[in-house]
Amino acid sequence: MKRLKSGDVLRLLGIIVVVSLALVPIYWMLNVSLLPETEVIRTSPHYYPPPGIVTLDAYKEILTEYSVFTYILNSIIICFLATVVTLLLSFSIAYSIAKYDFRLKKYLYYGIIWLLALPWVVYVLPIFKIVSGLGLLDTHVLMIMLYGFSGIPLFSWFALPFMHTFPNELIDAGRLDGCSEWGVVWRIVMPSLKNALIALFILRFVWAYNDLLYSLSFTFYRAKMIMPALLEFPGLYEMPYAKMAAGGLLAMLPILLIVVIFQKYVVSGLTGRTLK
Amino acid sequence: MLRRKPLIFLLVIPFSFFILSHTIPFLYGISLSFYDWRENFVGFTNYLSVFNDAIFWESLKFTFIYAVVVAGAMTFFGLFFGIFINHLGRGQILVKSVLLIPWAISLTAWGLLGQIALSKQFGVVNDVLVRLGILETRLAWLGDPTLAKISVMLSRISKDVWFSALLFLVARQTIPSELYDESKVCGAGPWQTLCYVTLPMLKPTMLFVTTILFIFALQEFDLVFALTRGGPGFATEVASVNIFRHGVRYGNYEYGTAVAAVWSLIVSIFVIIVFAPLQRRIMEK
Repeated sequence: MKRLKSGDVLRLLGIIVVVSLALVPIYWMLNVSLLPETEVIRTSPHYYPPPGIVTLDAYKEILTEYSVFTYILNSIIICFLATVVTLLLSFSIAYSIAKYDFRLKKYLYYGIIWLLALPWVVYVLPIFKIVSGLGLLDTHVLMIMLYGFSGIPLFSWFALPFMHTFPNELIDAGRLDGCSEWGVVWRIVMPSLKNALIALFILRFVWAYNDLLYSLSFTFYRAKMIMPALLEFPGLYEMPYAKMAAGGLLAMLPILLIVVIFQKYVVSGLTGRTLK
Repeated sequence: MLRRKPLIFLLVIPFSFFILSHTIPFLYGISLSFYDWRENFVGFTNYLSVFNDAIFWESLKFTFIYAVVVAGAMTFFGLFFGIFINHLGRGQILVKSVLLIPWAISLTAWGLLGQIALSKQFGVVNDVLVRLGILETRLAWLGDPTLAKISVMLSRISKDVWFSALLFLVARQTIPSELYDESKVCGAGPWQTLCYVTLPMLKPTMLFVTTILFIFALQEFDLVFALTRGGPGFATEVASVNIFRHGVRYGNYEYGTAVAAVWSLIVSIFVIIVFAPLQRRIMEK
């Protein structure tokens, strides 16, 4: 039998430290969400839910009092369609910047850099005024358009390094076979860049799903999304901590699922720029 | 290679969706900032009030402090943990799969969790610190202006430092191992290897991570809104929350657009001075 070396013990210790540092907050959310509201509000908190008092009441209450499922579903539908829109448009833009020469290219590039740095909040007030005049406020269509179009500068920029390294030969072969330029993007570039596409899809979906600013400003009832709904649990006179924790966890579930399944793609989406 | 006509469909039309949905409203917003709520033209009156608004300047100051601290700390600790995890041997597969989980939580839920954990009487943070003897009395983490500022920054860092650690870990693992063999042959110690091999090779990632985190941090809205709503008072109000408060919660529409215009101008100056030159260097490489 191999003897355990001190290096291995230290490594194990390091793994335990890092994993627990990263997971403690989620454990705490789960812990609080399983307690009755009265047991959360005590000066020496329960570090684990004592078996006698574990309850799913918080989950039951938020599912019956608020239509949490509808809000989550709204978020998923809106963000999914919006992400498809963002990626189609951004890949097409990145393709033309990487593979074409045109006069204003440099300015367009710096324009994109500028637009991706501008804070979203500067758009909120005027968009609100315009869309309420158009009667589009609080509709799914509006949110799909807003999340679909707002990602264009950032995701064109993210897609650019993948396009730069894309072999010209493949594109020329496609053109010789009679593909239109859209056909080249759609049939050749996008399938070959499947990994990058998945990576950017997840990044965009997660950011749109988790975004609070637009969903809080433009959805109220019909198209209400889950993030602003979470903020409604704390009332004026009470702090229902268990409900807040339960809501936060439920809202996180779809994202957690996607991230666990596709985790290896996420990093490459962000680092395509620096690793190549 | 050079065909002009397709660009209308590939570039101009896709990009115009952004222009139509965001840039034109933005310009419209700037034009609104010259009116009052009865739609009378008032020139720069709104801007004069913005410049005299001490709370706005305080929020700008805090936004920049927030962005510098958050981006700096996440780069530093992300680098530290990234290199640390790389030395954990086989166990790092487990660690890697865990690092993305905090990233999956929304900042909104994180803010609510912060309210629970940082509560003065019922929060676990106070309880742990008192039990360990680090604190003698429980602190109002979200009630005191200075502490609230620190709490907002720490809670942001503690959520996303793992994501930046993952970026550095992946970047570290793409450094060719020949470089490390060579530095061993040359008799370099672990510190020398770190300073002369690892850190220089990670420099592009550091630049990328710091700037992108800084830009995201300047836009911060979700966490502050969910955790403190900008309070106590206006202590933790960042620029985005300030604009949202004026424009949406107070309904001070025209004033809000003026603040937004000033804020976007300041961000643009940052882009011109720092971000764009950095991009040029990356592009020329």
